[in-house]
Amino acid sequence: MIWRWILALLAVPLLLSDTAPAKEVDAPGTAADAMRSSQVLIMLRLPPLHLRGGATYSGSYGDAASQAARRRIANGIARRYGMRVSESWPMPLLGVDCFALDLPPGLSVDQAIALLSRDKAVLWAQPVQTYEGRGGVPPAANDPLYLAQPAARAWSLSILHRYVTGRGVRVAVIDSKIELTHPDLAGQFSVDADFVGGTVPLAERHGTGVAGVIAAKANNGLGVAGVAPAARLMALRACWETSTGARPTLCSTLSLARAIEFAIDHDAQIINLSLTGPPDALLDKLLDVALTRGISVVAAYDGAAPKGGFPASKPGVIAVADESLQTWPATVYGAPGRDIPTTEPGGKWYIVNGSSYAAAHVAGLIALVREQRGSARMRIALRPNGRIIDACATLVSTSSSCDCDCAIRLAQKTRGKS
Amino acid sequence: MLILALPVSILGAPGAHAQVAGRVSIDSQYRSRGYQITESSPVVTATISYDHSSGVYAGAVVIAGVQGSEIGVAGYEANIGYAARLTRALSIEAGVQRTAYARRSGGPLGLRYTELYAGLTFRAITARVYYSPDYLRPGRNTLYTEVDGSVRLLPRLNFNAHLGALSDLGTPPPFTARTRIDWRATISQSLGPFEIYTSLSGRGSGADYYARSKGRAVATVGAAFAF
Repeated sequence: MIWRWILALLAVPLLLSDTAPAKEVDAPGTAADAMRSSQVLIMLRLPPLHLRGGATYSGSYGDAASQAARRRIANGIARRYGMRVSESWPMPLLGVDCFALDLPPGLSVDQAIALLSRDKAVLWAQPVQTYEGRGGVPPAANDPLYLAQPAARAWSLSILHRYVTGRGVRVAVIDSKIELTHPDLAGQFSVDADFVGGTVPLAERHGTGVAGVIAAKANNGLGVAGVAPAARLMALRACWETSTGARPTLCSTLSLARAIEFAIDHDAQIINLSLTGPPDALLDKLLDVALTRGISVVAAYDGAAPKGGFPASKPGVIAVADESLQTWPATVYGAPGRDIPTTEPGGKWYIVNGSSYAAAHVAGLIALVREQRGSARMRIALRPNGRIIDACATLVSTSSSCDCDCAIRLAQKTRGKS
Repeated sequence: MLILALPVSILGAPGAHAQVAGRVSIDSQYRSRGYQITESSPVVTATISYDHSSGVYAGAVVIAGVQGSEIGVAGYEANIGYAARLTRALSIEAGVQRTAYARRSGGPLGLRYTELYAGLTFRAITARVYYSPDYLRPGRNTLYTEVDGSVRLLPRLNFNAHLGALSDLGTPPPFTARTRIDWRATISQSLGPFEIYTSLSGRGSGADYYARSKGRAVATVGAAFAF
């Protein structure tokens, strides 16, 4: 009779324990181990120490039996969702036992937290967050070609980037095929669409170069830094590179119209048209719609064309010329357009010239302003001597006593960042 | 055996708000409050404890020993109580415990007492007082006071020290001091869910009915599995 009681009691562990072996409680891992993005933390209740009976029980601090119970619970929870307990440590001061769970591939941290939070045994679930030391940001970008960029000096790009980077601003680059996989551009695109038809090449020079000026990744140890490196580009191919002679880039009314319509439909905030041609009724109407919706349209100025070419000549469109040109109309802005290092198909970089790239600079600048102000209302500031854009003054108030660096610092303080 | 059935049925379907823990151990002796409890050596102990998120907890221990060629129940302990944190480092508890030991495994559980207890735990040190109105025989009022402390020597090596004093509130039995001291020092090493430990325990003056050795300090060893 006694046997049955003993066997019944010894059978209890079989009833309660998981089929998986209980995981050993490891000493807490290094902080670096914990900072993996595929991990979440769950907290189980750690009951206060109390009498548990059994005079031979050593009563060790941490209470081995109840720790084993929570390990068992955590393993069960983890297995239910395809996760795995990777480490655990009790925190008696908080009354919780903390378990780090590795997520299976395909399960995001947010999804995991939503699932785990539903379990009643879980006090709370949270991600493993990353924190960085505030040792100070080096003043210069570490893009090797940065110092060769005219915008580096003329626009004090690295100073501006301490304050704004065009984060999340949607810029439609309507141009030839951009090399989306270029190391200085990969990941910068939210859309890749073709409106030309036929075989789509891997990359074309004009579009790739324009995209690089606007949003090449900054501080990635490669190449150049775009004017708005955190902007979201929409790669809309409406132009193609011809293979004859000087290989100009050409676009047609139809391809441009489709691309502009797409950009408007997909909530582009800025449309960059580094191209020029004859006035066009269809494109004119589409650009009216864009302007009415508050989309900033930037176009390249063509000095050789009447009124500077279309769409630059359209009122409301921001026309930009290479500032190294002799002269340009009062309604046109000057921006860097000569000796511009930018991205080249094949994962390379090269030097370009032209108002196309000046326009691209301004598209990037408008993205910076949009991040700062959150709206399309802006005033592009000019240098005192001529119609060359003063990028810093467009964003913050500079004066003779407070230069760009000083003004940006003030703006950062006001915004609450340091 | 009714007391034993109670915690088993509580755990029948553990609510998601409760934690159930178990432990099985084998020890060279079962010593409580400085005394070897039964003739049997070694003993197997099975413990179940239940922690509800409200702070209510319950537990049961069954001690079994080998007597001759049979395994017999040598005793049980069951308790139910409530524990709560007052501050991050301080917690309190109170409850009632029923203890019954047999002089021989499989024999009648003649050494019985019920105690009301209250305790305070600060970090790893616990102090508890137990009041019994029927310590080992009806009408005998006793107060047992104990202090228990643990310190982690290494990540998995733990040292625990225990000091207790049993006081008769009325007239003590013949040849029994009014207050009897007991102490125990334990070193335990955990290996995952397993634990091995060795204890040295002893007592103050007073007859030890079951003592094998004349000395007052006895060493024991044991191993446990927690789940």
